[in-house]
Amino acid sequence: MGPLDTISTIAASGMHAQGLRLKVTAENVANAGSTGASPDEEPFRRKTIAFAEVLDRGTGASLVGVRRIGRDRSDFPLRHDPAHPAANADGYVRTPNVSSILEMSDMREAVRSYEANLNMYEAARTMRRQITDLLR
Amino acid sequence: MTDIASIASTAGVQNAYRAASAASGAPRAGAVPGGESFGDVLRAAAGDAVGMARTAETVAAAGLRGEVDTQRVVEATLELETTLQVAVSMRDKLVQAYQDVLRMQI
Repeated sequence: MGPLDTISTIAASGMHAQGLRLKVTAENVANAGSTGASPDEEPFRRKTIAFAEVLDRGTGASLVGVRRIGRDRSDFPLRHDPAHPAANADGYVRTPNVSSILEMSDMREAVRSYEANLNMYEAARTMRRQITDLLR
Repeated sequence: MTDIASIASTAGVQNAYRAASAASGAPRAGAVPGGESFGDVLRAAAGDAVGMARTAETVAAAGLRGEVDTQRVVEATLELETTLQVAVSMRDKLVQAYQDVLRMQI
């Protein structure tokens, strides 16, 4: 496998990782209103994602992979809503620790990073096409 | 004389080349002791191309069934396209060389 083929594999792993990151962000945004149904039940806990280097055995290239998908341990914000089924004795509801601004910036970052990897893929492809065109 | 139809694929060209060199009894052109000959390189390239085409086909089918994500299908298809371009360019070159030999003034 030549370096240009390896670039395709590396960039593809980057795109896959960013796709998973966006998936986690989507889960967080979708569950931003998922409080429990009772005061004892925990609301949705924000998911986090961590990447790590993955060595490709075949080519020796450093790919990127998801190390683990964890949970944000920060406290749940309280909202005063006594009519809510999950409200405690004082009328407070524990809401998910999802910050929409944080999720939006995470989304932007995932999209931009995906684009960067896509451009890398495209560049390697163009170089390969140029060398093939020499045969014509 | 080799049938022109057998030139239709790179494998055909390769077989014709092998048959011709075996019939003449001459050592194969470009055969370097300890190195791989042009024929070997060609054979490996043709084998790779066929394997790549099969993989791409399997991935595309799995993608349509929803078992593989879109990115993987696109990767495999682009890979197939590149391999096919190389194979077709190689075939064109070989056919051109064959025609050049045919047109040679004796």
